[in-house]
Amino acid sequence: MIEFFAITGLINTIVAIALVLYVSAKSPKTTIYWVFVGLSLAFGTWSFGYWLWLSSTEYDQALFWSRILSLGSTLIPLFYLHWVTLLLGIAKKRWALLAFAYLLTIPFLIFGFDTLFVSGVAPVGTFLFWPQPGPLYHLYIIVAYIGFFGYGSWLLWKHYQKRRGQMRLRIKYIFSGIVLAVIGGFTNFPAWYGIPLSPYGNVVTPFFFIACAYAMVQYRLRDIRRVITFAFVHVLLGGAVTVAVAILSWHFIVPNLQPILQIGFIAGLSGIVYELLRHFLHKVTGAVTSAEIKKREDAVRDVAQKLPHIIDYKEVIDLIIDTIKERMQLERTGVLLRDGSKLSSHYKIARVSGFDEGNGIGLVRDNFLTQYLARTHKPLVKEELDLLIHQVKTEKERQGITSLKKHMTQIEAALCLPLIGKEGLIGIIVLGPKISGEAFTHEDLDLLRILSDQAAIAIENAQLYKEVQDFNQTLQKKVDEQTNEIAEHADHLEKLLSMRSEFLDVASHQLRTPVSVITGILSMVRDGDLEALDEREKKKFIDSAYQKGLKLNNIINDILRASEMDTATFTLPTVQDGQIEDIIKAVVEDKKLEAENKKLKLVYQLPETALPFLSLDQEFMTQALTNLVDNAIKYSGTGTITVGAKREDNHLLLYVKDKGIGIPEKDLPKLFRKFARAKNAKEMYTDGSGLGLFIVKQVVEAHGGMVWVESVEDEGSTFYVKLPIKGYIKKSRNK
Amino acid sequence: MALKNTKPKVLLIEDDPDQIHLYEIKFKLEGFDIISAEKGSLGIALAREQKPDVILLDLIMDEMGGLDVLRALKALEETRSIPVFLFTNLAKKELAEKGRDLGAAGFIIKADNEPSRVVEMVNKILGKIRS
Repeated sequence: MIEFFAITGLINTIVAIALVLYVSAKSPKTTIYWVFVGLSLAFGTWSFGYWLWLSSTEYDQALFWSRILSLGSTLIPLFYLHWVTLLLGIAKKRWALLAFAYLLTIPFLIFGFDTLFVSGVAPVGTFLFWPQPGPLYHLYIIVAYIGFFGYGSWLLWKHYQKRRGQMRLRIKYIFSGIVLAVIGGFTNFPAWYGIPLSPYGNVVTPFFFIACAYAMVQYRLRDIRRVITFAFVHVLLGGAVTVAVAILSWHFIVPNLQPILQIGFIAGLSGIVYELLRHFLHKVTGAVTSAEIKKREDAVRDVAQKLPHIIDYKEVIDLIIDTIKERMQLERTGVLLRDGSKLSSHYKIARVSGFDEGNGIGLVRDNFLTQYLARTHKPLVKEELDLLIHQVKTEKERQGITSLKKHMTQIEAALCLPLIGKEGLIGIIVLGPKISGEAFTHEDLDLLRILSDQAAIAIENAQLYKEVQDFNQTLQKKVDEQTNEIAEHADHLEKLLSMRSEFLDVASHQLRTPVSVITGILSMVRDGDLEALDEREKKKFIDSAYQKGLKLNNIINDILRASEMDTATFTLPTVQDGQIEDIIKAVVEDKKLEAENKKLKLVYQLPETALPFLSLDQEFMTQALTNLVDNAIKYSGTGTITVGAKREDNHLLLYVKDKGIGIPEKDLPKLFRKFARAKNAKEMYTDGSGLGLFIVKQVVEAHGGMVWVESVEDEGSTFYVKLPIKGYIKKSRNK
Repeated sequence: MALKNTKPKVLLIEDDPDQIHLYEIKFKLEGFDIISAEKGSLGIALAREQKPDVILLDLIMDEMGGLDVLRALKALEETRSIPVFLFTNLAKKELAEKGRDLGAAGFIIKADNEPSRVVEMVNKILGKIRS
C-alpha cells in the first residue's frame, strides 16, 4: 500500500516536470511564468521527496527525503500567493506583502534540515517512517497554508466577485483546483499529528497545478462544467482501474519483482485496461455532458432546419441573432453587412439591439478589424486580445493586436464573428458581453462559428435571391418601358399612316376637282350641248376648262414637289452662290401682270445696301418666293404688295408684305402644314393645291433658314424668310 | 304656264363657281329649273323656301360641311322628303356610308360622272318618286 503512495509521488514528479515544459512552450517568459515555474518545481520537489521517502527502507534515508519533501511544500504557498497576485495584476501594489512573505519563508527553509522543523520519522498507521513535526512546523502550517495559501485564495474570491468575463472563468478554474488541493491537504497533514489517515489526496493534488497552468496559459478556456465532468469521470475511472490493477498484481503476480519493475508492470497493465475501457468511458462522459451538448445541437439543428426556408436576408439575420441571444444571454447583439457591391468598403447595420449607435457601430469601414477577420476567418474575442498581447513576440504583432482591440472597443464589441461568403467577408456579427459576466468559452465559440457559417451562407443566398428579384423587377420595368415605347411607335406609325391616307384623300380631291370640270365641259362639247349657247358664253365656257387645266398642272407640280420634300433625306439638288436680288426681280416681273389684273401694285423695294451672295438653289428658291407672292395676290383685295430684302448681321431677311385679308391668330401655328388653309382663305379660294406654304417652309429650311409670318386679320400679312449668309446648307433635313 | 310649273327644280349646293356655272348650263339645257347656293346655310334656306325636287350637295365646304347640311335637311319637316345626292370628289367609302345612314339618296363622284350622267341619275330618282 505504501508503494502505491510512493508511485503517486513519482507520477506527481512527472506531472510537475510536464507542467514546466508546458508553460515554457506556451507562455512568454514574463515574471508570472518564472513564478509558475517556481511553483511547479516546488511541487516537483515535494513529489520527488515523497516518492523516495516512501520508498526508503532506512530511518536516515526516510528522514532526509521527508525533509526534502517539506522544502517543496514550504515553497508551494509562497509561490502560489505570488502567482495569484501576478495573475490578478496586483503584484506591484502588494510588493511589501510579497517581500514580507519571502522573508518569512526563509527561516523555514533554513531550519528545514533541523529538528526544529522535522524532528524525526516514526511509524504512523501502516507507515513506518512518517515525519514528526518540530515546533516550527506548526508555525509553518499557520503561516504558509493558512496565511499565504488562504490569503491568496481569498484574493481570488474577492476578484471573482468583481471581475467579469475571462478572468472570472480563470478564477473558476483555479478554484476547482483549490478544492482538490484542500482535499489533498486534508488527507496529507493529519498523519503529522498522529492521526493514521493515509494521504489519498496525493492523487488529486496535481490537478490543482494543472488547473492553475491551464488558467494562466490558455487564452480561450473551455466550459469548466464540461471539463470537470470529463476529468472527474476519467480520473475516477482511471484511478479505480489503477488501484484495482495494483492490488490484484500485488497479490498474484509481482510481489517478488524489483519495485521499479512492479511500477512498470502496474502502469502498463493499467494503461491497457484503461484503454479497453475508454469506449465505455466515452459513453459515460457523453451521458453526463449530453444534456449540455444536446442543447447546443438543438440550437444548431433548429437553425439548420429553418435557414434554408428563409429567403429574406433580414429574417435570416433575425433568426441567427435571436438564436445567439437566447443561447448566450448577451447584453448586445448586432449584424453589420458589407454595403451592396463587392467594391464597397462600408458596413451597414443590418440589425442591432443593445448597441448605442452613437458610438459608431454603423460607421465601420474596411479597417484592421475587417481585414483581420477576412484573413483569419476566425472569431475575435476582445478579452483574449489582452492575453494575446502579452504572448506575442514582435512589436509589429503587438501593434496589430492593439489596433484590433481599439477597433473592437470603438464598436463596443466583446466578440466579432466574421460572416464569410464565397467572395470573402460579407459581414460581421458583433456581440456584446454575456449578461452574467461569464466568458465566451471554447464551446461557445464552436457554436458561434457553426451558426455564423450557416448564417453567412444563408445571408449570401438571400442576398442573391434579392438580387435576382431586383433584377426581375428591373427587367419587368425595362419590358414595360419598351412595350410603351413600341406602343408609342405604333401610335406614331398609325398617325403617319393616317396622315398618308389623308394626304391621298386630299390630294385626290384636289386633283379630281379640276378634272371633273374639264371632262364635264368636254363631254358637253362632244354631246353638242354647246350649240345652244351664244359665242360669248361658249368662249367663256371653254376658257374655264382651259384655266382648270392650268390649275391642274400647278396642283400636280405642287403635289410632286411636296412629296419629294416630305422625306427625311431631301436635299437641294443644285446649290450655287447666287444673288437673291435676281430671284426677287424675276418673280416680281413674272407676277406683275397677274397683280395688275386684280388692281394690285406689286413692288420690289430696293435695299439700302448691296445684298450679299448666298448659297442658293435657284429653282427651289424661285418656287418658294413665287408661292409667297401668289398667296399675297390671292388673298389681297386692294393695296400694294411689297417684296424686299435686307442684310441683318450674318443673315439675310426677305419679306413679302400685303394688305390683304390677314390670317386669324388661331390658324397661324398650322399654316405651314400640308393642306392647311386659314379659315378665311377657304372662303375665297379653294382650288389651290393647299401645299404652297408647306413647300416654302421646306425650301427655306433646306437652305438652313427659317420662315414665319406676322399678321393681323383684315389688315394684312408679312411673311419673313431668314437665310444664312455664310454658305450653310443643311445636307439633310431633320424632322 | 302649266308646263313651266312641271319643270323639275334642282338645288345645287356647291362652293366652286366654275362648277356651278357648268351644272347650271347642263341642267337648264336638260329642261330643269336650277338654283344654287355657295354656302351650306344658304342652301338650307333655299331648300325651305323653294322646295326643290332634288338637291345636289357638295361635301367639302367651308363653315358648314355637306354632312351637316344633310343632317339639317333631314331634320326639317319641310325638306325631309327631298332626295339629296352627295356630290363630291372626295371618294371615301366611309363618307358614302355615313351619307346613306343619314338618308342621302346617292353618292356621286363628280370626276367619275359626266354631267349628262348626273342628269340621268337625277331623272331616275325623280321618275321613281313620280311613279
